[in-house]
Amino acid sequence: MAFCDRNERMTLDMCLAVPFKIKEIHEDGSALAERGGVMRSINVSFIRDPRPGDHVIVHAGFAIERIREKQAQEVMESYDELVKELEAMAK
Amino acid sequence: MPETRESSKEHKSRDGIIRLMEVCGTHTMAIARNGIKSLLPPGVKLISGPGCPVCVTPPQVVDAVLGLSELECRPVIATYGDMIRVPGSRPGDTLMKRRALGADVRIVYSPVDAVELAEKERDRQVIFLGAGFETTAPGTAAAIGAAADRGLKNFTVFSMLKKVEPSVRALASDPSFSVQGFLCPGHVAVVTGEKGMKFFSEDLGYPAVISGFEPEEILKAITLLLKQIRNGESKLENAYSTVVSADGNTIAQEMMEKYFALRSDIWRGLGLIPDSGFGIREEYSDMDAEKRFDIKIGEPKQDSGCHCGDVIKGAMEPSECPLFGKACVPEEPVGPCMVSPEGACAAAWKYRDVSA
Ligand code: SF4
Repeated sequence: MAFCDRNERMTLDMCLAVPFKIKEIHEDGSALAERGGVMRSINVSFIRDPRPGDHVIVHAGFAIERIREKQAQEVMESYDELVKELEAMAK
Repeated sequence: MPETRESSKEHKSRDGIIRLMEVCGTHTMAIARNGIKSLLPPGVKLISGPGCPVCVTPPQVVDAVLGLSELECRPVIATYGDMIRVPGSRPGDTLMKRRALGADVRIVYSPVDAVELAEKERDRQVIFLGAGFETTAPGTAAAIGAAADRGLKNFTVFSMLKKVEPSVRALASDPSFSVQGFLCPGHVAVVTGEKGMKFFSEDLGYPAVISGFEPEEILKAITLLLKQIRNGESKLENAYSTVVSADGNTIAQEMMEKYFALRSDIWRGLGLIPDSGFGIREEYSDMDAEKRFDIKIGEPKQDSGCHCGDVIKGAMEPSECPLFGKACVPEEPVGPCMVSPEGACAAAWKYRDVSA
């Protein structure tokens, strides 16, 4: 992940929120989640009806929201739009 | 009542430069690392706001944190990594230094880890340093709840948690503040929902866009802001709708509501702001380190010469600080903005080649 190089890891943990995929749900509100091959125990008590396979944003050990299907197309279009906007401004 | 800014003509600053403020420290870092500033046309500038938790913590509060290491009970101080390198009002006086001198300072990833520590070491007092905004507050609330449920008598939280909205309102009320639009903090918005970000446009009258953190998401948000400015609009747009919903995470909001009550809090550079801090509710005062250890916030002991206060208000660029890159570098930070990678000074220094 772009934001996690080794030197920064220790200090970055705090404000950083990163996506994880839920693998297993446990009864105590914790879950096993995976990101880039790394497993981590996270807390999913803020997520309504969490399920294995869900993608969630994790901040300081807590899943704070589920990620809906990413509209890749929208992201791709953003570059084109920016270029257009910059052109409009230059006029 | 909320003052609404006038129409589009105010969307240009006096010097004709369009300034956009990113309120979130993670945006600051992503913008610096991806060289986004260099992609913008000459008349557009991005400036950092009060969105890095350790940066907005004032020196006298850091002094109080350092004071915890002098308590007779020799507590375990459990903290996120950022905090241990932040100097108090005396340069070089940090938790890291205190640890070298014998204080028991432990870095945790999550507030729940601090509860586990307290569970394991029942004969020690464990004080968790709760810093952060609405993103971190729910987890800290959950930790207080977990400790209460387990009947732990040796766990407390020193809350430095803050609410973003009052700080932005305070900033915007300063007549010298000149910003034409806001990139709203995406992860705070995850918790508060779009409704928690409406004040940017509806009350304060600014164009505002909720943005994600990938470079293309940030570019998209900037594009939307520029479009609004050009059209003389000021509305809230959500460019991070894959994660941010209209109402936010209501379970997390309920957690905050249950364990915290808003109180006045001191911000670096902004001073005392009413209802801007999350204090622990009276019912849970057993878990409140300030009460249990009678912590008093004093005055800063000395002025280190750091200008972080101006940097987080957008009044100064990091490079304009006389100490930037000289007396103050990430290895030996004079102020918190150089400590946290989300701090504007650290980001500007680290990516000085790409951010141009
Ligand atoms: S460069 Fe250092 S001293 Fe100057 S404002 Fe930034 S953190 Fe403070």
